[in-house]
Amino acid sequence: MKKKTEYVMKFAEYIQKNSAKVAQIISQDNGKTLFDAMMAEVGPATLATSYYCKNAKKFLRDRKLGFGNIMLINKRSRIVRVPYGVVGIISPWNYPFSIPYSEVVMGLLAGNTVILKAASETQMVGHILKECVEYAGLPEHVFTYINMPGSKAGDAFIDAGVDKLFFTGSVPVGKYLMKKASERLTPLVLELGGNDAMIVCDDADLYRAACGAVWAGMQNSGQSCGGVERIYVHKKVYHEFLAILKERVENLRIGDGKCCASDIGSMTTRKQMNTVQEHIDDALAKGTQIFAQSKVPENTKGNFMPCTVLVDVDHNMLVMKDETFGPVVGVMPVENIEEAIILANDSNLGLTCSVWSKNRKKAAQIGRRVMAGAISINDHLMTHGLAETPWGGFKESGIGRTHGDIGFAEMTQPQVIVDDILSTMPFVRRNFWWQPFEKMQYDGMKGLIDMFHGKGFWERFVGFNKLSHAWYRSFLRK
Amino acid sequence: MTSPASSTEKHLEVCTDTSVPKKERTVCTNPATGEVIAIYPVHTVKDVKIAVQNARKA
Repeated sequence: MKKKTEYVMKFAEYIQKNSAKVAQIISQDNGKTLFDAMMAEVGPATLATSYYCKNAKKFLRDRKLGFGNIMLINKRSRIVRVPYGVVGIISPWNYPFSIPYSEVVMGLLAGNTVILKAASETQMVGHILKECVEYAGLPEHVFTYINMPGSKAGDAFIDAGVDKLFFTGSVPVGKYLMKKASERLTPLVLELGGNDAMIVCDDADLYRAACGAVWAGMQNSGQSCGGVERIYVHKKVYHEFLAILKERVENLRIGDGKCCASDIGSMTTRKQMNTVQEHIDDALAKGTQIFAQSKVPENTKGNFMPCTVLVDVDHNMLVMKDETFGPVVGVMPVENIEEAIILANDSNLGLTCSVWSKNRKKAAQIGRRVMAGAISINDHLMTHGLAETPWGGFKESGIGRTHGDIGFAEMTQPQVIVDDILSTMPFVRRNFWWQPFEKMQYDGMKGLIDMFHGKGFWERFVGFNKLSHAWYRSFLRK
Repeated sequence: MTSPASSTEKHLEVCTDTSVPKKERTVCTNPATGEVIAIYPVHTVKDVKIAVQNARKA
């Protein structure tokens, strides 16, 4: 473990020395602003390195199990974590550095070899990640970098026999991979889409809530699986919330993210821009209104989309029922929080959700009723940046987790070792339930049940008596 | 740390090499400007197979 940790800490050393270069490449290749690249990718990745290196030994430690039954007190069990072997990682273009980085770190620390396929759309970032790992000087073939189209990668990885596959991407591809993985029963972790809800209570700090909605809904041009897409606001504060939201959105500066003069960069692909536009057009055709919109640069070849707030939306619109994955939020007033919870749960996806209230205890109780993998109180989206919090969703948002101790555990499989501490004693020849069978054994087993669950002292005592007769067989050679 | 053996491997680090046939390369474009910023060769299914075999032995 010490050697592995030394290698992995070299990744952080590389990032620390090259943080500006890495952020610049992320910004250039993905379109997000330089600040976004540093804040949401380079920074969290570096911090995650320290976290996993510090905790890997603890996560991988053997775990002794207490005995579940006094009759089997001689059986001492422990769980050990066994690496899968060869772990495949297929990563997306929206967080092209931080998402694969943590998975590579966890995979290697857990004792696997890793094959990474980064998104074709952001190959420059993939290559800087490769350079970062190369810097550590890992032994040959412990880490391999692959560039191939996403349409081929899943089949190629599974057919080649990776022992586990980590995929982050769209729901349809996740479903395809699950079907494909069934051919070999290859285990999968799927981090898929989100159509995440934000619930604003009538006692929320509306300024904070509106600013949070803008950040989590528009940051990275809305291309965050855990970003805000739907906002449900208590009717008492709906108009006040909207007024702040409008002011914040209309003042967003959209442009080339290479300097700090832009709040929002460009979208990564034309294809995604078309999807977002399709969702907006669908909503407009069904009666929505654009309540607020930011300006975009003119006369540019860049993939810039205005940040948009839609009102008069309902769940028949694509923007509310599907993942838009763009800088668009739909806002609905609700009669009460019960209605907000019902609407938040009215989705095939369940990645994240946030509840905004000055009463944090109440907010947490509301959050527990939403079917989503991560609930934030008075914040949203940022939990992916916390190395200690498992990331993953309910429903079609995915299977399994990355990050934290649960995510780390996904890189290994549990093996249980059961040791009989009496087995080397010369007088214990066999277990009482081993052949040849006799009626005494049957009575003994029934006695065991009576001993623990019989009604009254006498029934339990008779059970104990029968069991002890059968148990005595353990000491006999037959 | 390795990349699998590939017919296009010699170009792997050459970000601006346009000599690789189109279907065997990934063209990276800056989405904010539309400029081509890098070109990388593409690995094959066979490369992945070799990579997994080598990784298993590592």
